[in-house]
Amino acid sequence: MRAPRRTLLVVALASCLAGCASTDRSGGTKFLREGRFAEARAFHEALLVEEPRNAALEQNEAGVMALLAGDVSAAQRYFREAFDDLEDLSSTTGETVGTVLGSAESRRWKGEPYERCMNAYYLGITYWLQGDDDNAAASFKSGVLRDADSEEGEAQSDFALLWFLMGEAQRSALHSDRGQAALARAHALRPENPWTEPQRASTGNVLLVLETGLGPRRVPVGRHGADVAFRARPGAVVRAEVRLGDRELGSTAAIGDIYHQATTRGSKVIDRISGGKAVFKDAAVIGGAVVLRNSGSRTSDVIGVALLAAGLLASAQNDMRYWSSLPDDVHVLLADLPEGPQTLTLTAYGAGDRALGLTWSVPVVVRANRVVLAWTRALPRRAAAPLDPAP
Amino acid sequence: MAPLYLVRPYPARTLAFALTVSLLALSACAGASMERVDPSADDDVGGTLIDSADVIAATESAAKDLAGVLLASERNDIVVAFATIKNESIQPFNTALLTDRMRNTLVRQTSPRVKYLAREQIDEIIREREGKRTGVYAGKELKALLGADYLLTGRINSLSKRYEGDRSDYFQLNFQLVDAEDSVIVWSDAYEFKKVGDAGVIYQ
Repeated sequence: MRAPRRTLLVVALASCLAGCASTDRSGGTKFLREGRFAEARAFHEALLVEEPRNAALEQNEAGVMALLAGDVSAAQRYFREAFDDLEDLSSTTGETVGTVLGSAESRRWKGEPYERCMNAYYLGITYWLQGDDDNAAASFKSGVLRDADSEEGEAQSDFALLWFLMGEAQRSALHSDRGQAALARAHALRPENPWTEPQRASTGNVLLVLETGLGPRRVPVGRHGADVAFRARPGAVVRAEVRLGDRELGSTAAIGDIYHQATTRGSKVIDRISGGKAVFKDAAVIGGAVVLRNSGSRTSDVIGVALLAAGLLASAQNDMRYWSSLPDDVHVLLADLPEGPQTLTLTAYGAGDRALGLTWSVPVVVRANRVVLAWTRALPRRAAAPLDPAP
Repeated sequence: MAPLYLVRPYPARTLAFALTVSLLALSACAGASMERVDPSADDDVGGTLIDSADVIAATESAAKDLAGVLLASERNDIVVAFATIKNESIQPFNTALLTDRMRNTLVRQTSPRVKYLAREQIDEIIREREGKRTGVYAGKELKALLGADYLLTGRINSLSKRYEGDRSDYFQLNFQLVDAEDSVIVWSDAYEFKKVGDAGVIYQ
């Protein structure tokens, strides 16, 4: 009767340990959905202090909240720190051993390739909003390279959004080829987007960027959650009509399908590690139970309990941390507007071209010989706070 | 009769060892570590992008070379303005790190034979001049704002490769002195480097 009691004890202990696995990060998304950006930012800032291994993740989340609230310089600080953190993909022996033997979430968060690309995207957006199109172009270019790092094959560097923004920022900053190569690549990737058409893409002095929906959610699947699946969280907004006073400027068109980016990047080493741990977990539990059932001595009792404990305690679940405040899609529109302060008016439409009753304004200061950026986001409750126009 | 212990006593040597280990562990957690290091040397952090050692090496070499060229001139009234250094690389970078360091070295080595303009502060200078000319501030001497004979400019370029966690980055930091009248390039210098690195296995 000793062995079953021990088994129960081990099971209870394992259950307790399994219960303390990861931090609940859903509060940030809740605040975001309700348009409470300051509270969402404070939520992630608190986690930033609590969980240093998730620093880059919380900086990215806090950066989005700061940007939504109109605090571009704070957003840039967060994205810049996360950018530097994500550039360093080295790992210590301790971190590697901890990840292989323990939880996949014990390592520092470096994100999936699509999340690393989106960090570069947001850093570029904040540079551009502050009038620094040179560094905006550098950020987008870096994002394109992060995309290329993800795997071999056709998915390499297929992030049309980054190519397009890089081309437009290079055109604005008067880089060597005025962004022509990057814009041509964006057009090749998304020919159905009218704003990537070469003639249109190389004219216009205002680029409107509109984000919609929420980015993909990571969910555990397979044995012990060793595999990862993504669930799309599209928003209601399918497009937005843009006007300057009475003048119609056209309709935004999608160019940055984040769900597609998340789901076309192939497997990674961590997936194989988690898969291996799931097999070990099953084998150890079954092996331990078999040994205990046929046990005839104290030694085989100990071996059986040890195997059972190892199996129950081993964490095979994959890394479930993800950047929750990303958009589902990004739309663009180019316009040629008179110099000086202007106010764009956006009206949102959903599926079946149904008016969603959501209209909001985006201010922008148009400058001579530059492409200026106007950035906004359509959220379930309301659009992001209007940003101060770039200097 | 043997004394009654609730906990079996440990030998003194064991207690001393445990105490030493605890103190060492506590001292390791006492606070964030800080070490002052040489900014012109490579550090342990690594990375394949521009870092302080590159900024120092690039500006040291370019400023020294340019100072020699300027001082070799027979003219004693050369005026230089610092124009924008364009960043066409993959690294978001504050190019003032380059211009400020170039300026410091050049001013130290070639002033007063060569004059350098503070164009970044031009708005404050104009306000100060207006204050003096309208009597708000007392002024000793009224002078005209100088135009530049030459513009010191440059460009950062890069070429990068990524493959399954491996990365290589090649950077060029180019500097040019351009005649502000006829646009002729009268001097140029370049600093280049290539760095390779890789990602830890758990991040591949």
